[in-house]
Amino acid sequence: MKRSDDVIRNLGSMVRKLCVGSSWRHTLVRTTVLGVLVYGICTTVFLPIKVQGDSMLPVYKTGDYGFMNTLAYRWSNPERFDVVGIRMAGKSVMYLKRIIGLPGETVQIHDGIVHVNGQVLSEPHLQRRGHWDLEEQSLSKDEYFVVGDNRVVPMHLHTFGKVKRYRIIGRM
Amino acid sequence: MVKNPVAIAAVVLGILVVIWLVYPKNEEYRIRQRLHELADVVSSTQQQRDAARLIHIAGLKQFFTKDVTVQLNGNIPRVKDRNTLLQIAHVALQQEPGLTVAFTDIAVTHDDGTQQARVNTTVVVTGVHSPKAKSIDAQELEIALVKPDGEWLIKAVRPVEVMKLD
Repeated sequence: MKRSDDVIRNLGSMVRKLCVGSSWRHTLVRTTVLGVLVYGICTTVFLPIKVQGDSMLPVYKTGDYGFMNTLAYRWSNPERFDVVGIRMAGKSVMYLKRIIGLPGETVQIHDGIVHVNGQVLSEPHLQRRGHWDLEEQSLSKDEYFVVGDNRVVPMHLHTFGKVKRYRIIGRM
Repeated sequence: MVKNPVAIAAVVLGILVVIWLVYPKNEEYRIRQRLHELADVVSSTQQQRDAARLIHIAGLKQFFTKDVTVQLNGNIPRVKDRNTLLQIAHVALQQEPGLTVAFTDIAVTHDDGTQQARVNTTVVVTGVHSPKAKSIDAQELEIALVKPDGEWLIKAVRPVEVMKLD
């Protein structure tokens, strides 16, 4: 009888230690610091993203989760084929697109094939493409050309085009 | 010296909450609230019947000036008065019964002493077609507001182009 009482007491002590540690004050401080750290990182460095929409199929589909690295372009510029977040009024809602044109280049689409500076752009990430046609677009020094991977949808239903550098907030 | 720091923290927190509740709200706060109210009125549930939906739409009137201009995107014609806007809203809400609207990232520009303000925001429109089929659309907007009789009214809405083509 005494033995089973000891077991229950030890078990209770273990559960208590697991939940609040040896000192609830220290646990509270640790939890608060950890919470503040996670919140800080998730609002400034790695923004948690939930994908909505079919624009980036098949790489990203509705319901997918990921993190946007907002420091990716702090010391370097976005590169071709980067999947980037493009801000609207703020960072709560953003477009997810792939960069295919860099500043100073020209981009044209003919029968679904992208031409950059007159040369065919190889896009190995694309599985299928629609019959898109787009006249030549010239990019200024602070503009990038972005488009989604899902080029099967009609061109007029797809949001894409030239975007200013300041709107690109990070890389997936 | 300090006997019960938790009690002191609770009292300080309580005082701050009371100050926040009593302190007169500034115009920026009122404008944000106004937009959230508008979003609530526009958002309807699928269960709402026609009569309830009509009351819903009539409630929109209080948010706009008579000569409001609304430009949503290139394909939709520009709306130049409140009555036309309400008619369009009526049709839209009938076609999309489960529509919800939300304004996020609201940035208000308002000079003290003036009765005009500008808002830069993203509007998120969610359409629920069935429990499994949901569509989401977002658009950055610039909204001009005026305050003729003590209440902020929307005078103009125009889209902000994020991506553009020549």
